Amino acid sequence: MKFSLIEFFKLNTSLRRLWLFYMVLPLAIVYTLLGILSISGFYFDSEKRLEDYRETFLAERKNQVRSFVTLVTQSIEDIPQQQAVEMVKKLTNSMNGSLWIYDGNGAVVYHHTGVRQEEKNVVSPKNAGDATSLQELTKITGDKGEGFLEYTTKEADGSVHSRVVFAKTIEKLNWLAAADTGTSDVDQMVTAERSRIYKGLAFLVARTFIISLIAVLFIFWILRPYVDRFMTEPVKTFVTTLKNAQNDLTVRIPVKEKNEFGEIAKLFNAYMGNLLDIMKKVASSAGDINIHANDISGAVQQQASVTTEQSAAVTEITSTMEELSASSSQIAEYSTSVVDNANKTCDDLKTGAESVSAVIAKMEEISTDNDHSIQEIYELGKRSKEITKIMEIINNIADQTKLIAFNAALEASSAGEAGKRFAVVAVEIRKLADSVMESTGEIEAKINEIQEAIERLVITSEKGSKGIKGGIEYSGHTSELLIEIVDAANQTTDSAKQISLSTQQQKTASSQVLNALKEIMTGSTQNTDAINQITSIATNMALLSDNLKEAVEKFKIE
Amino acid sequence: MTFGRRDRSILFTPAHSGYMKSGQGFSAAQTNELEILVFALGGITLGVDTEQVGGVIPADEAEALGMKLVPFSEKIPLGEKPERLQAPKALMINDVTPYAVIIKSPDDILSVRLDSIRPLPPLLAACNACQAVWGVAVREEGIIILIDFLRLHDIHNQNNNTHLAFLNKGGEATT
Repeated sequence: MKFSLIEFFKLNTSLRRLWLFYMVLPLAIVYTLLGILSISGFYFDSEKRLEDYRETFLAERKNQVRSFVTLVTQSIEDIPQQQAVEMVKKLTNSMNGSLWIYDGNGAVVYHHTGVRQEEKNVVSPKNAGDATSLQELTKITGDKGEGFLEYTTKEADGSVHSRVVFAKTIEKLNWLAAADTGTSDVDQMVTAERSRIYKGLAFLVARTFIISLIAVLFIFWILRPYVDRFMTEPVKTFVTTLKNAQNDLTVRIPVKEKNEFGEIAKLFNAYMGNLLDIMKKVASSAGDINIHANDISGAVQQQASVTTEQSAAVTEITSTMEELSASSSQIAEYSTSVVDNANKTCDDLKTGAESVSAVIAKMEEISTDNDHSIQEIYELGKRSKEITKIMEIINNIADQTKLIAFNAALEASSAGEAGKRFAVVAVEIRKLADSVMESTGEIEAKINEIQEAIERLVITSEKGSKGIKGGIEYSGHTSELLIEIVDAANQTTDSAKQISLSTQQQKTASSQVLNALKEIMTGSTQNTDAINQITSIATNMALLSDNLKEAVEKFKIE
Repeated sequence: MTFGRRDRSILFTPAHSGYMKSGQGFSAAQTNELEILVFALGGITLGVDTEQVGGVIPADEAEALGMKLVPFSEKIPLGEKPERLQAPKALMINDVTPYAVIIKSPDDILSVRLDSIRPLPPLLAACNACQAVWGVAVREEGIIILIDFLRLHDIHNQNNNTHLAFLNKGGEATT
């Protein structure tokens, strides 16, 4: 293989870009991050050492100031004032800084330059104000009686200088002594040391980067043939095969490798085989689907017609069921009324049966009384006949009396004048006999009328008795019939109750059926909509099957 | 019981309007009234002189006494068809005992004035059956046909003899 640097870096394939992106670039990033971490660690360590370095020098300088102030304060406290002033002067002559001493009233007792200069150019810290003022120095000393304050000043030429002041109280005199000294030289030494360290670091980074880059390029150069052999080339083969396939499902990728790409090729070939089979089935099914879609469309249209008729029938049935439900409601109401009437009828029949029983008892009493009356009438007839016999006897007596009177009159007539008075008596007797006979005749006539009336009464009473007995018999039959009617009425009442209950259930069932029919009607409407949708779907499916057929025909499967 | 026989037949002459008792020289000058026993037959009022009546008894009693009964309605066919008599009475005829005339019943005993009695018309008098009627008493209440029981008795006997002769001759009756 001819090595070409341009070709080497030619990232004209996505696989290479991916390889570079997913392997080399992460390595570079990791390496860079590690480098940054190392450099930053080195930087922070260097800064720490520089700070320690500065702190060391600064601490030494602070110790010098503290020692000086301590010496001054001890001198002021321990030796006489004049000697102390002399000693302080000597000490200040040897120091690189300033010294102040304040009394308890804030007055400057001593300043090594004679006049205290105001330190108003303090730039850091800002709250330090006049760092050498009694107020600031009192803050420094605080409760411990001594303290440091670091601050920077800016000179008129713009230069910045670092200084440190130490203040300590002289408790014996209630004075305060403070001294400061410059620390810029310390900062300059630290700056010089930092420059030296960073220069070394830059050299180290550059050297490491170059070495790393060379190493990476070397590794890339070493690995590229292997990558091309085991990765790029199979992928190229895949891509070329697929590009040249042109919907040919019979195309296959040659299996050369036994690695993952070989497995991929095998799987691809198997997948293509399956896809070929599926596509064949799809091609076969597409035609069938088209046929079936047309069949479905026809069947659905027929079903739509049937559903429309069914919907109309359901509508009619619903209307009929509504009427039936209304009729059921009316029947339920009527059946309730029938039950009430049946109960009332049953009660009335029971009352009627009791009344008939009472009528029978009364009629039996009347029959008994009537029999007694008939018997009495018979007895009355017999008595009237006896009266008739008596009247016959009386009539005979009257007739004989009349005959006697006639004979007396005849005798009186034959007696002449002597018998006239006797004749008068005979005439009176005969008239009396005639009157008796007339009366007896009238009595006989009345008795005959009575007897005729008795006979008619007997006949009537016998007829009445027969009628009463017939009435009793009919009343008995009526009572039996009423009892049977009461039983039948009870059965009718029970049946009416059952009918009422059944009609109530029928009413409920009708309502449920009506609701069900309404649901069916709703369902039928939905079914019609669904059928319309199915029709549309079937049409679309036929269209899709055509499209599918066309799409399948684009594939080469034979 | 015995009854005296007295002739009470009445004879009318054209010279006077009164009547005479047959047999004993009865004259209207002796009495102005005649007592008659009145009875009815078929709606017609009949009368008989009380002197010709010996008494009144029930018919069955008269039959029990063995008297000969003369059914008046058969002998004097007046009025309508002879009615069936219940409890008939027997008028015993004086002087011809033991005959009795059967009637329904006597109704009354009246006194009629003799001048109120009229003879039968000649046309009726010629009637054989009317031979026992001797006159008519005219009263305000109506007329009373007067019967002579003795003539009736004679007619009765005559008829019975004719009847016997007829029976003896072989059945050819003559009147």
